[in-house]
Amino acid sequence: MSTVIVPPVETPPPKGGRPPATAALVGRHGVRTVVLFVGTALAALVVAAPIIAIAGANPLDAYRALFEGSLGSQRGLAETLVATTPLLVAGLAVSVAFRGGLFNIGVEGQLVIGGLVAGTIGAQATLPPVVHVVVAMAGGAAAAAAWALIPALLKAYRGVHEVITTIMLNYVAFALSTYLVSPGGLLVSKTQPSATEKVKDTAVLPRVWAPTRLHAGIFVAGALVAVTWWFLFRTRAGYRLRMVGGNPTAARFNGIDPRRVTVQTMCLSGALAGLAGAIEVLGVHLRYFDSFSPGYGFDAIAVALLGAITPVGVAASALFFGVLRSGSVLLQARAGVSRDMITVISGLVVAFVAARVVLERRLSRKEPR
Amino acid sequence: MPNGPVLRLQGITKTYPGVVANDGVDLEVAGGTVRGLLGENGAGKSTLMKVLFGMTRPDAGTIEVEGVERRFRSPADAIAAGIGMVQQHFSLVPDFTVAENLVLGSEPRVRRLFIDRRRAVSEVQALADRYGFRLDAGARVADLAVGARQRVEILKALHRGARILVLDEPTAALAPQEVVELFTVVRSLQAQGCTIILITHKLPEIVANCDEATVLRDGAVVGTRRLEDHERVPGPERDALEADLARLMVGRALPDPPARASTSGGPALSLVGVGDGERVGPLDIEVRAGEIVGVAGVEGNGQTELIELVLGVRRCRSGHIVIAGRDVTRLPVGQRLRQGVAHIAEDRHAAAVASDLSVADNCALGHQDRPPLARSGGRLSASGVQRFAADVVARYGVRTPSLQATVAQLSGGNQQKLVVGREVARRPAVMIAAQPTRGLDVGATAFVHQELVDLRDAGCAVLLVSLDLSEVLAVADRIVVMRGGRIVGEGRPDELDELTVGAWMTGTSEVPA
Repeated sequence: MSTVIVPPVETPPPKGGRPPATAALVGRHGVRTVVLFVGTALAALVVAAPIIAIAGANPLDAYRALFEGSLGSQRGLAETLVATTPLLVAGLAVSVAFRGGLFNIGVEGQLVIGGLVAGTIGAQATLPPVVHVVVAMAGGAAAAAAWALIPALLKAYRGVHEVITTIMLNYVAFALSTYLVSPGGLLVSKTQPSATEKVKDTAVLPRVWAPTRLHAGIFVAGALVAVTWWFLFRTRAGYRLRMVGGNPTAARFNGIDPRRVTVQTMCLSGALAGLAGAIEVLGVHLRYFDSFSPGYGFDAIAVALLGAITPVGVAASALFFGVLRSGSVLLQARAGVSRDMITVISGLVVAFVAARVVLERRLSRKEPR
Repeated sequence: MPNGPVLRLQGITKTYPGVVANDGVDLEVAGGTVRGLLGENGAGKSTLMKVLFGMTRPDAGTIEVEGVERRFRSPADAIAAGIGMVQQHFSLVPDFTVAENLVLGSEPRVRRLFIDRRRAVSEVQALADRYGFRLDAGARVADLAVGARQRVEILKALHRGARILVLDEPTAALAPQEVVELFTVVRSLQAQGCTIILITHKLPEIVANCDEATVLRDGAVVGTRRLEDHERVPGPERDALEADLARLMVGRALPDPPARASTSGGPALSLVGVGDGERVGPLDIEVRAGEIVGVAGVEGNGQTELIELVLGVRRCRSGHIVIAGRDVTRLPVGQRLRQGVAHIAEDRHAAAVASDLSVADNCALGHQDRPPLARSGGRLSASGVQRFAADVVARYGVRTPSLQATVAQLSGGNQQKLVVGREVARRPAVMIAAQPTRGLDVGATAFVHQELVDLRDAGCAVLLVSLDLSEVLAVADRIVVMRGGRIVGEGRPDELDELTVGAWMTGTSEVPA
């Protein structure tokens, strides 16, 4: 329709057709992403070595114990995957929020709410098999999404920063859940203090690798990776989410309502967080225990950052953190290093990811205009 | 005072990954002259000036200032050597007075602890008077007009001892009268022995004001030319000179300016008594199908708000907005866009692109809800997005490493081409083009103008909002002038000249100094 008076200069028309799916899976620069991932993880382990030495152990022995404990046996491998599952799902929750321009620090609280509601439905409702477990998980997800709705609405319509509100709501969630399973609380078990009743067999995520604790939740988590990727990159709602995350003003000028998308994003993130809690309760503990989560929701932030917030990257980094977590038992028993050392390592990962951002900005600033 | 070169750049080479920004640039500037530096975006002007001002280090080459070879590690070194730079974006503290801004960092003290404001004011006023600047040293910068702020920037450079002054696109934000005043200042500086390097892509300014012009293309000097006085007079010689320089810049002849509209249809966009209750309106504007209406005005006189009102991003407190026969006053942005509105944003980083997302994703913005990009069930067709983006990129000559590259990796001109391509692809009934050529070079500007004209010829109503008066005069079929959020003048470009419009833009009284 229009005459192009400035012809394209030395630009071969890019090939149309299907984009390489792998490119979207591992990010735009696949190889670079993998290198950065491995580099960051290794850097954290290397820098942690002198700290382990200061703690009085041989770093090499410690790492040998860490990896033998997590990968060296059937039980270790299973425990690694058990630990990976909630980290993976919660990591997806954090990364979806990041994609939409939100920093959801409330994943831990949402995870607790999701676990509590799923555990309660699992214990109280009477439903056929399969249906029961699905309903319990969906209930946990829905409750956590509703919990995330509060910061979502405050952010979208009142401009209250979500970091503040989600952190504060974490404490509300912890206190509320503790209260509900305290002596005399509404949901407390008759036989087990600080917990709900045991979930019924129909609501349990079945074990899949006897005699280990590995349960079907790992498959749910794997499916969620695929679904999240599909949602972000193959649906219009996912596109809107990414566009609002990229530039809310540009989105608004093009007919996307950033406030509505912000609410949807936060609730979706909350739902994933709730699923993480529900899977943990229905697959591992089989009842809701007060403070059952050792901080999965916080580790999930490191998981998402290391995974460069792509679903597949999150899966890989969840596995890395799963290794750390399950290997920490043997680390303590054999190398005499406190389990808390893995907290140091994950802290270092976050620090290196942050440093990486600065480094990348430096590099990109050198790009010509 | 004509004498040997005060500035000599030799073999300046600067490469960035994948691009040679400067390729062995030699530049010699004689003392007390005005040198014009011309070039398209990406020709290497900015890089060269960054090298000269110590903001980046060259890979090779030497800088000699007044016969002494210098190595600049930072702008502080360049300032110490007597080089001053006035950037497009000013770096002044708005709440400080002119004098306070100037002495910032080297304030005259009373008993080492307190600032001697009186002495600061008198020193600065003396400096301003010496160079014949119309400036009140005690005035708050926030109260000054853009032209006066620019004089403060120039004075700041002089105050720091600049003898070589680099002006980067100095007229971009000025009203015509302010431009005249700027060049008066430039000449008085020259008379006092300053050397001036003027970077601009507005050819007439170079021709009217420079002693010599150097043209950069693809990182290298493609020509330096002395300008004779008889060539400055409007006439065939001047036209030939401008055509010459333009050809050097772009590497090919420029197309003729677009023709005016012959006929226009019914109203496609009408604003009746529209206002936001604070910064703009009430005002009436009507744009007919097949017509380009140019909105001229000094920055900050309600143009931005007007655009936001039309698009529905700002709430309309009074009046009615009718687009393609439908009252959209109460409709949200998305529904207005579906009425056939497209929008080239005045600030693409703020309102048009998401820099961290891919070229493909950015091309799809605003198209994602329609086939072939949209698929049933809320799905997005990845291949549709890819094909559409490839089409925009190819048709508009967007230079990008790939469709998966982020928009941040593109140059400003290519980002703008992407936005123009994306918006034109909507086949709009109404095109809101806000500053569509800001920061674009001659070639890209001509291209965007042609796109707007093509749209008009295809029956689209175009509302062109621009701070560049010559652009409005060149392209629009009808001009309205905004001041203080209202329409203060209207006419056809052949009935108007820059000075009439300029007087409307700035008001009857003079610009406050």
